[in-house]
Amino acid sequence: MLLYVAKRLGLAAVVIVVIMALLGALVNLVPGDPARIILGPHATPQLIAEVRRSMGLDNPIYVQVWDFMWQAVHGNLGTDFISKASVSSEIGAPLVNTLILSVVSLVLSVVVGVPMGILAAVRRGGIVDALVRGTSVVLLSAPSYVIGLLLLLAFAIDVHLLPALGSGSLSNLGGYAERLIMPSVALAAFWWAYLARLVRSSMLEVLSDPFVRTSRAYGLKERVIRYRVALKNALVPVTALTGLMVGYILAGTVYVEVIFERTGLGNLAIAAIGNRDWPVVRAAVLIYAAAFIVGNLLADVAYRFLDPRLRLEERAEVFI
Amino acid sequence: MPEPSLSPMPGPVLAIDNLTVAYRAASSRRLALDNVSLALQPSEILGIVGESGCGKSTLGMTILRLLPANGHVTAGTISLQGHGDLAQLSREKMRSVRGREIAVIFQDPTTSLNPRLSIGTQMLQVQRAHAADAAPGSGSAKTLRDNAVGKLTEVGLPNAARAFERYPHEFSGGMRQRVMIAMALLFEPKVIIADEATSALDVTLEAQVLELLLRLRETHGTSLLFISHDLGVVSQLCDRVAVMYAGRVVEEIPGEAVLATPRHPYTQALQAAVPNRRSRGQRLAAIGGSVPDMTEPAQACSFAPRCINAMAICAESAPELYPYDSGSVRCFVYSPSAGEQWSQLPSTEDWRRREVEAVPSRSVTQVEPSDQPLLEVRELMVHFGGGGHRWRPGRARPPVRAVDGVSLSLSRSHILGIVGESGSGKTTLGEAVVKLLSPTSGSIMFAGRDVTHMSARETFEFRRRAQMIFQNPYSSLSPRMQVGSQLTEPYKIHKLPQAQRRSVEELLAAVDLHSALRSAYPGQLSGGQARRVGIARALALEPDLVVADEPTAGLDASAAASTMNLLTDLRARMGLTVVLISHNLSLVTTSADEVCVMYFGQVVEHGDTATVTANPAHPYTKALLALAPDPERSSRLERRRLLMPGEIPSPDDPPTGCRFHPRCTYSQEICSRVAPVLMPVEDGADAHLAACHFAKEVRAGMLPEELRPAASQLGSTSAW
Repeated sequence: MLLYVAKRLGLAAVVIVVIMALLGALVNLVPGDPARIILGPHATPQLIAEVRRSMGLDNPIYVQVWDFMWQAVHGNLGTDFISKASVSSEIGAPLVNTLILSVVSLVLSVVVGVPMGILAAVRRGGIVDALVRGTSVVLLSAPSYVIGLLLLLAFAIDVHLLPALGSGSLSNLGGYAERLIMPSVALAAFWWAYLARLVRSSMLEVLSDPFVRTSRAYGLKERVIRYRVALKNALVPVTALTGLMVGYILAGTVYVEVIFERTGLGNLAIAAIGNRDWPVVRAAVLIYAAAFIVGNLLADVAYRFLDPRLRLEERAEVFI
Repeated sequence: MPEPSLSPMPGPVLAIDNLTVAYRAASSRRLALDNVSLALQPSEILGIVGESGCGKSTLGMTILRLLPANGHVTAGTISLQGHGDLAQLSREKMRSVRGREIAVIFQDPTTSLNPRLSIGTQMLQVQRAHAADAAPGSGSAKTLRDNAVGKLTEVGLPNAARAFERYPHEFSGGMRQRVMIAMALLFEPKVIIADEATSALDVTLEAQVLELLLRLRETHGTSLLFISHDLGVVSQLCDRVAVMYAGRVVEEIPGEAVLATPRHPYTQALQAAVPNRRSRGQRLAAIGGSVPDMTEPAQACSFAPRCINAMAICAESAPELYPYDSGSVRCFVYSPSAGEQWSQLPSTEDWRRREVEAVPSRSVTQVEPSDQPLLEVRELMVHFGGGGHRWRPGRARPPVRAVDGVSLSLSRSHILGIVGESGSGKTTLGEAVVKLLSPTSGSIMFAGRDVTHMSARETFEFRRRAQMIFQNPYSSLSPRMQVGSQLTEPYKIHKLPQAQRRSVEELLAAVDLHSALRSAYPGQLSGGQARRVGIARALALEPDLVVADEPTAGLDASAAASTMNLLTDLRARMGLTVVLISHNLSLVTTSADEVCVMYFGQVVEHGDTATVTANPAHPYTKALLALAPDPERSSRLERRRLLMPGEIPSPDDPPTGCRFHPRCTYSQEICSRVAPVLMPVEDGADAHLAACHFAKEVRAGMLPEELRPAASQLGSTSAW
């Protein structure tokens, strides 16, 4: 198991390095000269050349790539073209906001979606099942920004129940939490539907497996059969999905941050892209990529942990 | 017959009275059990046999009250000693009966155990489920564990304490079924229901599990309800047998009489389909038609439409169970009033005779077998995995030698049977022959061309001429394609001109299937039908060579017999060359011209069928032959005399010397040192080859059999 984790970690590091290299070269691969954007259309060629030199853009690409990687490894993601502040310090607060939003959404997705699926499977054919399946179809077909806008209309404009915009500050925890509710629901709603359907079908499949019949034939209590015997097997596809979920939820935060006008990595990145503010874009993309990789890594390890058949290769002896 | 000395309690442990069970579908109703009455005596082994669809498994599930939601008991009672009618028990009370008073062993231990929990955890779960009701359930964690480990030891698991921590996939098939049996024993139940408990195992493991069940009956006095489609197995194990047909018991008969003197025409038909010593080289008798779906209680004999002894009366009224000899038979022949209509009693020979008479054209169109070799395999090796460790050369793992130096040659229009236990490499050999696997070394010549060195175009051409019939027809046919289009798919792939194509009707007719099945999906076919579709697809291109991998696996006797007959007929009609792979030696010998016995990736004996079966020269062949049920020998002691201990050892660690020596009853000192080579048994005659130092002696029956005591077979770890 340890060996496996080590192998996967090594692989993840390689992927990160490749991504950093691509990001380092990004400026040269995308049309538009950053120096011209900073200086405006009337700048003299001398001035442009000077700015380019100060930004390191006149170096050969491999030097640029190496510089970016070397600096990034040391926690220095460059300087904001526009504000001249260090990107690392500029990205800190929005990053925290986005991370909190993502984690809350992820937890909310699982905590609501999985029980929905279990309930539907256990009460198969009943009213609860029909309700869950009906809701799922609706939620699956609504993207997070639609749900976000509808929530805004309903709870902030029609009924003044929740604050509409902004992300609040961590010093006022109550207000911060209040402002998290709608964005995280908007992000999680799709996953409630998705997980409910996934867990329902996988639970039903497992419940019809021969080993569940064995458990019944040996007098196990129905509760034990559901939650000890079947659930562990039924959750395997869910763990395989978590990696994907992390990615999708992160991507979703971009919309949600724009709609709810939250300070966050997404809003920051969008502004930076508009300004051709390459250091900020690079940093944002690097963080998204790293989060995606970590999510998938966790999913793989969990998958292996749940399935003893995959653990076999590390065992020295094969038991006959 | 029950052994009365074992239990002082009078009366049956389990009594089933007039039980009727129906399944309700959308608008129809199907009777699965129709007025079944059976009694299971203390420490008795009662066999339930019949084709699939006769209600055997429904019976087992009804006893446990585990019918699917659409099945329900419409009449009758099931009473368990000390509990009364099980239907009257509360749900909670019934739950406490399951596993504690009545335990089950299911057919496939691979799927019947939870793959994600260690077997120890699963055994603890079962014990904790009954914590409130029983002694072993309420103890401390350690007593529970000790009880479980004790049972694992008892069923013959080597190093049970360590096995306790292991997951199901870490055991071989035979060991997994032992785990299942250990689980059944946890509470020493009154009754164990074994539902096709040995059907997924090959013959040697089956014999070992039967032996174990017999022993457990003796030590624990447990009663066993043994459900099986295999008449041979039932005859070896059971005290008494109930034969079921279309939801009714048609015959009750003592176990030793099932093969010797069956009375009901249906039992006789089943027996005629079982290959045995006498049927070697003959066609097996298959019963035409299929088990009818009953919607109403039978108004006539439900077997009459398929019965060759049927008279007018059989279609007019329903026979009762008439007592006869030491059993009872539901057939008018044995009724005191109507019996005179038959001039003589029906017999198994009727079915055999009919089978021979039914195919008079066989000899007319027969293609004469030729001596021209179609297939020549030289020193074939197929190894899997292994090789050096990436960073540490010292940790190199040896490869799994699935096929390890096999040479054989097969003439056109011959049938070669390849026999061995699972793990002997026979399927790998078959797949290499049709180029589904590339061999590690060696050559395969097919009609003068080397299969292993073919270009892509040559391979494409080769695929047309060599086909494989896969073991599991359901997983090898596309579930979302109609039978008709699956059958003609090979034509499209090979772009055959219209003139060379056959119609779907012709293809279906060639395997005796009705043309209405063309629009069916594989999921709607019965096991026998799906198998035939698989054969028809393989034959669509009129190949020269067909490799049939366990073509009868999972089929009941009658369907298996007709599948085997089909292969022999096709050989006769079309000059097909067949490689027939099976673990069942007696089945292979019914149709193969030559037999090749494999053990651990190597051929241990090769010769024409008559020679090998009459004078086996390898102890392994001899043991496999002895495992076939034999109607003439009725004493159970005699039947288990040649039980082979152990299983094929771990494939990455072959034994030194002769690979069979740890399990061999003749094993001598030289066997563990020197590996014997395959050589002619008689000097100068290369028709009969064997790889044994003592082949001549074994063949002549000159060596005394050194029998290991039963305890060491089951308890020792050294053999595994």
